Amino acid sequence: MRLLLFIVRRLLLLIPTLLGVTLITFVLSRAVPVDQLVETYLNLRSPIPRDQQIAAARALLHLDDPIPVQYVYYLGLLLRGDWGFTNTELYHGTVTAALVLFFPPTVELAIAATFLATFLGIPLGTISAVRKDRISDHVTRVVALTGYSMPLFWLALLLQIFAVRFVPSLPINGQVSPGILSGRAWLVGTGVFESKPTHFLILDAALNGDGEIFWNALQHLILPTLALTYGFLGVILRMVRSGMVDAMGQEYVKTAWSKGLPESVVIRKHIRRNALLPVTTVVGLLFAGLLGGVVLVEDVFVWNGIGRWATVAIISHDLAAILGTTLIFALFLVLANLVVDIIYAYLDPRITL
Amino acid sequence: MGAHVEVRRGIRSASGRAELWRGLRRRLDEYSLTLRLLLKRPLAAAGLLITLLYVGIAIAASFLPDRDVLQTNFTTAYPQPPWWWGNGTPGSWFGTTYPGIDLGMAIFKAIRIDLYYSSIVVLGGAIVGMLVGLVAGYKGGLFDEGLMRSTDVAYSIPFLVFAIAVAYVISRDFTTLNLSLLILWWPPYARLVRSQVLAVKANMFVEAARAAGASDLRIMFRHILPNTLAPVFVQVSLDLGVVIQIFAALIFIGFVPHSGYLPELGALIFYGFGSEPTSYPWTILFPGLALVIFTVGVNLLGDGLRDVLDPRLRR
Repeated sequence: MRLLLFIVRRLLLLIPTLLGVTLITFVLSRAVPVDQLVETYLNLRSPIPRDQQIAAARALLHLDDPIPVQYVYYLGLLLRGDWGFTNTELYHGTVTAALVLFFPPTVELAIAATFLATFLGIPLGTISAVRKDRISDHVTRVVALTGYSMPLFWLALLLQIFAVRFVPSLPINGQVSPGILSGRAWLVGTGVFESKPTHFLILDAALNGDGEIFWNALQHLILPTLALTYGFLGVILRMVRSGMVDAMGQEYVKTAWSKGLPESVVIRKHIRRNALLPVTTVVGLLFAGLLGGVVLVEDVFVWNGIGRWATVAIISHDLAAILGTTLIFALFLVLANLVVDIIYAYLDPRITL
Repeated sequence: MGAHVEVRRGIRSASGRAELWRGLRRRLDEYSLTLRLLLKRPLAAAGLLITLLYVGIAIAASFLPDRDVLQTNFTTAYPQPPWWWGNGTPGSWFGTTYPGIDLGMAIFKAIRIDLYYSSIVVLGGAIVGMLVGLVAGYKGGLFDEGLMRSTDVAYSIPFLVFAIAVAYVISRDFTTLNLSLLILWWPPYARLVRSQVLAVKANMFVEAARAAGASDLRIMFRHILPNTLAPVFVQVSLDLGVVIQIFAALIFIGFVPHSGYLPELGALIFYGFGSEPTSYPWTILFPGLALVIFTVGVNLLGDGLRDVLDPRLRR
């Protein structure tokens, strides 16, 4: 009941945030010259003449109405999934179709990196806190510090150089080797893939029982995942360590020690459980942040996700794609914040809104 | 009657000057104590040293002439390794990168540009955020509520993508990029300062100041603000490392159009990237290292400051 109430109130708080975010993207879209804005709603490959399309786009955007009215219609367009047309070397078509196509590879990468960073970060952070100021602590802290001090795209480049020199069999870019693609009903496309049924390449390969593509795609995932993981491991490590060091000084931990409980029980059940609370927040937000950080890594590894699409859009002056990416990232971050807050309220009964 | 008032005003201003002087002395003592405590910690001292070194390089680099950087020699247009790399060019410490740029000189110049722009973003964000947070925390009410909602919005926008969108819509150059980063950079400071203000406001000395008839402005700037600065200093030093990386990243993906030569660390990495980094690793190694060392430095400094400025650990 308490949790339900919390969720309802949190959802209500979502409304001003969503309005604010869409207001910002609206202002951005109206800050460009009108011709450029209209251009984002033109389908360059459609047989309909350009003049008619321009007239239709102006009507669709309600450009002759006052600005506040335009905002309401803008919200309507967003809800209907009418986000305009993108026209880059990667994809021609509606923005929403492009998002459906480019989002899965990015999520794939972000999930892999979040899992790896969490499963490495929690034990390493524990070791670091338990052996505070000893050699293993110093090593972990240096790993963490260099991790978040490193530009991810630079790390990605270094990994590529390293792989080329020392592990030549490891693929350094792309999602799957182009040579093995032909003759598959569930997989369409060469550079940008459309795989059925879920659009997640690795998952689809597993579902279709295609071992060759599955292993190949998994190998392609290694380097980008490593680059992202090393960058974000530091944040988790730091969080776990400081949380545990704080918890160690608490009275209830002293009580646990003085009761004569075994070390592993005190560390796992008394100290770490409390230290992990803030870590859930970080992991959730990290997942959302990863989607942002992924932009640069994707560019280096030619990984055709949202990030690479956005980079290509910048270079080829594609406004629809840029506005679409901004909005989708913002919505995703809002959603991640919501989920994290709810999980937090579930885990920690002291939280009230 | 009038003369009396003037005499009183004279007394007040004299005591004000003495008070100011005493206040300055106290603050200077406090800063030198902070410095001494900082230097006692080897990691924090290293961080301070690195930061000062970079500031020094940035200042010195403004006196370097541009012509030393471009050593375009078309007979050897390929990047040349430094002398210690193995069959490297004698006399060149960091080698060259495409198209015939002396990497050492270019990195010095790049540090100057990167440091300049990222400190504008961070300091600007800190000052704006501090003022807003101070007023919001002190006044409360509707202004506070509005501020918290707008920081909610700012928190839910991924700044990299947002900076791209804003600067794309307005103009793709350094100044606009700076401004768009600034728009998203103040809310965390506003939150930080606001939470501090709420804690400090509850103290007895604020009550006392109000009872003595101090104005709101005086209470805010003389009594509350100085007590909220410590976490802001920490945040500024940590943020410098973040912003410089965002900057380099945006230039790297080709956000600010440039052709040929731009002395900026992200651009230098980009030139290396374009010239087959697997054959010429140093072209991306050194500019990246320059970024990493700076970020490690400000992070060490920030962590050290956090410990040193914590009043519980201070004396």
